[in-house]
Amino acid sequence: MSAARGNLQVAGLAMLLAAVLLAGPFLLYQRLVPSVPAALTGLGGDFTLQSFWGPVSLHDFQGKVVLLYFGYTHCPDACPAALGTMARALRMVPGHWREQVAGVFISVDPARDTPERLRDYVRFFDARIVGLTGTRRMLQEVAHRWRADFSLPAQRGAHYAVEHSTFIYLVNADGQVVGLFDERTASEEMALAMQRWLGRVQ
Amino acid sequence: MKKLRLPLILLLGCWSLTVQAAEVEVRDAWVRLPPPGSDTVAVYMVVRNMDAQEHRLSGVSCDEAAEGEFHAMLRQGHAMQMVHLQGVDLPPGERVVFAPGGMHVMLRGLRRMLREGELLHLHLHLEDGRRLNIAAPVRDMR
Repeated sequence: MSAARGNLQVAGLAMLLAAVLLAGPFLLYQRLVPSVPAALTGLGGDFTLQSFWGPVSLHDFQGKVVLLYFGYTHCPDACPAALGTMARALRMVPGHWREQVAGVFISVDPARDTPERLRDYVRFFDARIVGLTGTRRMLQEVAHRWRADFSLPAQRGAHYAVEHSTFIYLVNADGQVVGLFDERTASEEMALAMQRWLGRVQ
Repeated sequence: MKKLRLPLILLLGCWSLTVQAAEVEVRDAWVRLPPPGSDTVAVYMVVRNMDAQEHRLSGVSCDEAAEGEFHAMLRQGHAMQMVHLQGVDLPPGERVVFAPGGMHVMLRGLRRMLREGELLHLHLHLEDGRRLNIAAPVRDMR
């Protein structure tokens, strides 16, 4: 074996070693310090809506990681499935972060979903979920900024269904939307994502 | 004997109207426990048509609810729309699945609160006039 070839091999090995040594911390950094996907920047934003207990704003949750969903209580399938998944995810977050996670359910059907009805509906799933609603105009404005579509039928009898988007938004402690799920996402995945973002909260 | 024939025929007639239609089978029916105050609930199940001919579910009723309907969920991108179905075709030899995110039976105007574990009795109406009686356990999915 020539000396030149030997040096090349040593250099190659050194590079490999360096790559391995650097990859670990890099992957760990990526895992611990999640980033906001570019597609989500500018989505969402602060709002003030009504709960049974009074007005609630998104900034009231500063310091907490939040799961947020738009729906309505007369929805038999998608909404209870989404809230059930959100509630399970909240319960999966370890105890020391118990009060640093929350859920928000925004009803886009204010004609039927009074703040009192919403309070009873959400607390069935988890006491950390708050039920909010507002005037149609306010809801339209919030939904627009959160790119959540909903449409109420023009002719509304005693019973009607509301078409709505099924996003479950992951909101970080600074009020930014940092992830999107839906009712088909595993609770484990949501819980893990919440913990990753909580890892950055001191 | 002749005197007995008519009542017997009538009796058999009634029996065949209400008893389970052997060639259409319902399995794994369950009800999602609704939150308090909610009078709307979804029922899920698997319906199998073991017959060589097509059947059709034309309606659903429940003594504990004002109305029952079949619904399909239309997912367009990330928006979900519930569509009221007048009936559900049961092709010969096939399974039709009612599951979360897909088709479901919606009961509206529940007359009382449901409890986890109890059985809710429903009637599925076939287009040929027969009725399938099913008992669906209430499940807490939180």
